[in-house]
Amino acid sequence: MSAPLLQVRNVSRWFGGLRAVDEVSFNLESHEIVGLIGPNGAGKTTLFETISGFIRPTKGAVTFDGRDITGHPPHRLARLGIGRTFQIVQPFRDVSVLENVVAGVLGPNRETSDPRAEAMAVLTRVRLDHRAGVLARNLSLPEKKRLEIARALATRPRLLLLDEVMAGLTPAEIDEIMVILADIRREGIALLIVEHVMRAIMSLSDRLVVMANGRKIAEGLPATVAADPAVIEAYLGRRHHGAA
Amino acid sequence: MKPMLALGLVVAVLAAVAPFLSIYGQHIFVLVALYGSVALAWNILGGMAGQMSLGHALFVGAGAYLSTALYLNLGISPWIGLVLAACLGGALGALMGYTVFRRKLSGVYFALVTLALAEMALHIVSNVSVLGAANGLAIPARPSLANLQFTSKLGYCYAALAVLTVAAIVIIAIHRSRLGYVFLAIRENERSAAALGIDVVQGKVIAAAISGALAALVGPIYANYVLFIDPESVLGVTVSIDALVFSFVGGLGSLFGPLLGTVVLVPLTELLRGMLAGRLAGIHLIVYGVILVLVMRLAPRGLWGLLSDAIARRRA
Amino acid sequence: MDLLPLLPQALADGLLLGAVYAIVAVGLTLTFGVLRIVNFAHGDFLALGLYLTYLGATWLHLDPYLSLVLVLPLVTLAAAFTYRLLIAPVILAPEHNQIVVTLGLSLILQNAMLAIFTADLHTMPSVLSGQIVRIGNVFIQAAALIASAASIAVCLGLYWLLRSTELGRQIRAAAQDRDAALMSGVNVDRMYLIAFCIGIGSLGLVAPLIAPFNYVSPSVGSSFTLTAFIVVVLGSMGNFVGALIGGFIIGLVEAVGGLLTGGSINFIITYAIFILFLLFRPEGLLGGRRL
Ligand SMILES: Nc1ncnc2c1ncn2[C@@H]1O[C@H](COP(=O)(O)OP(=O)(O)O)[C@@H](O)[C@H]1O
Ligand SMILES: [Mg+2]
Repeated sequence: MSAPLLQVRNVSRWFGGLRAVDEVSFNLESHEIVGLIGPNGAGKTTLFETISGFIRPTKGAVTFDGRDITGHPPHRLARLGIGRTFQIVQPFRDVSVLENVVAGVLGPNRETSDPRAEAMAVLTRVRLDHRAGVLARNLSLPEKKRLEIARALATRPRLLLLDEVMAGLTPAEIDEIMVILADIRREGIALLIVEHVMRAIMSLSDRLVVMANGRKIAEGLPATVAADPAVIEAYLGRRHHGAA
Repeated sequence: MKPMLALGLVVAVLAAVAPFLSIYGQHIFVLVALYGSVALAWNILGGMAGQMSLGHALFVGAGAYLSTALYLNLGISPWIGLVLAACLGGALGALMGYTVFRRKLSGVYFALVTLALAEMALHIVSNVSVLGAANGLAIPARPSLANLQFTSKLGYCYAALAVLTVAAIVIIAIHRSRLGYVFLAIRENERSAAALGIDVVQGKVIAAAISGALAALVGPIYANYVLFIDPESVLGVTVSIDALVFSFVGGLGSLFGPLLGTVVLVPLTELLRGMLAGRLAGIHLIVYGVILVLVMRLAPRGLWGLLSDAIARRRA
Repeated sequence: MDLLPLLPQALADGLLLGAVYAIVAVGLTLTFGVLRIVNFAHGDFLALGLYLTYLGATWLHLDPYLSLVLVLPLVTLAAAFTYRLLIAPVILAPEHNQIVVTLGLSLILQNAMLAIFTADLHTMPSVLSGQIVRIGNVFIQAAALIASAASIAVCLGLYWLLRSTELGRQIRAAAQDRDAALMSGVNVDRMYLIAFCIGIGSLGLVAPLIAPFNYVSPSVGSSFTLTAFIVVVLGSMGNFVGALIGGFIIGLVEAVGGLLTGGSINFIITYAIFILFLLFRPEGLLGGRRL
């Protein structure tokens, strides 16, 4: 058996005295979709930032495709094949949607014959091709979320980290994203998804990792995890009180 | 190759028109082409890559002093000086960019570092006797192509136009390549840029190097046109401010807006100066200030933005 | 040459100069700390104050100290106009636009003064000009002593205003979090206006005080702006106490540096300190933004 695509080993990130991420370990195989869930403040975004190189872990190691990538700068990780979206969307606001995605195509500095055509194809995949000429600032929130995905896809990642791409969307818009994500998985891209929309995460994920207070409290098949009393206590229980 | 073709056409027309201008017209032509080149160079770093410099005089001055000092002391042709000036400007830009951007300085901090570097260079040169110290360096008039000196202003028109053309070609080439998108991404959002595989620090250093090299090219031409340089005229803060003013007034987000700004502002202020015949020194800078403030208030995308909006409206 | 006997004089000069730098920098750091705007025209308002003092002396035959009653309100008024006309509209604009607007203002002010008053240097003598206080081997101009003492007093007064009054509390609230301040009913725009007027107004107070032992020319402003930037970065942008400390440091560096090197090499040293700070400790000596 070959090494897993992504290995997170005892990763911790402290902010002063606060242990935002505390000794978290899990693996992610290629072609796998792993859902990362947990109440707000659990440390999910911080974990994403350490995996994608935007912040250094205080302790622990991350390997990708068998090689140690701990502390590597984000642009190098993007070139290795780790794509990511931002929880708070960060489009290139004052240029067109197409140019946003062309930047994604050209960003990793790989061979490409026709960047604009390639970008257009990516926009079609996320059903945003009809908005190609619009300034990114003029997109609606659901469109911005899809642009975020398109730009990351354009870098041709092997692993895509999606941070709450469904937050703030209507059920119909969520369905649209789920179709897009199902397409992406079919192309063989592994996904690590942070999401609060339970029906989406339950149906998409092969496995779930649950975090609370910086620690991993459960891991396993969605059905098993959902029945775990600790998880219900830490996460599902609280959701009913509006802690999404 | 459409933009390159358009550029070729424009340059050909300008070259054809130049001989028919009056002496004064040719003088304005030279000034516009030289200031325009500095503005275009500034815009690569300030507009395209979004890092606002207040110190481009450093590059212009370095180029002017290098070629002039080499010519006066070692008899090295200003043509070689021109090439060396570009190299020096590029090296200074890269060095400055590397030290500054690696430390994540941006915005007003970057503006202040560049301002301070240029001012420090001015004071250093003012104390170095080989460089004429505060008195400056006069170049003896020995017109010949080899000396980059011409008997008529027309020769200077072509020299200045050549520098402007080089700047324009570089800008078009950047815009059409990956580098254009690297600059765009850095300007718009550095975190996103990094997430897309773009080395943000490297991109900024490259922008600073190209910008510095092109600005430095202007120095030797200017020196040989005026036949005199001193710290204030080529290293002074007004050189940096001019580039910034032309760029903002012309339109920061555009490729050639800075040139448009120069084309409008330089003749305007030269005219004003002529009308006032030396009275009211500094009047052109008041005009710059007023226009700058008005543009920021009324048309933040500059003249180029106004123009393209008008064209879009005509088409619609 | 033995420089040691000259050192006490240089230290005294440095401290006197430092106090003036401190108050100029405090004004700059106040506008930055509260409005988050870097005012490249800051020093030009000092030049404006000096020219008003000069006009008072030539037209009304006012001693600089007496012209204070005119200069202070006029400069403050100019600040209020500037805020309404130029600063308020760009308060939420990108940093680039803010810098460009204040640069434009500086161009206008500086060159308007050049057009009106020419590049000639003007002095503004007072009854106190030429009065020397002697302490041991150290000679101090009485006017400089007064200016420095007043500068320190104003700094302390401003500090008290910010720290201990209701107005100061509201200014600090507006500085810390614009939105939160708005929510809790602070008139943020008004606080910005007041902070800007205080920051610039303090220059209107300093100008007549330094006039008796200084000259004025249109470029005086930009050299003070640069010095103020250096002081403010040294003492941490937006940090009140930092500006005070930074002022004295730069004053001493210039005076002692002048003793050792002289001339414009002195500038090089100051700029080198500035650049090194910007590169290696941009957060300044004290760090953070504390008003
Ligand atoms: N840059 C930071 N500095 C200090 N604390 C931080 C920083 N980033 C996140 N935190 C804290 O770390 C904890 C985890 O945050 P985050 O990773 O955003 O959680 P989640 O994404 O699961 O909601 C929170 O308590 C948050 O306040
Ligand atoms: Mg989060």
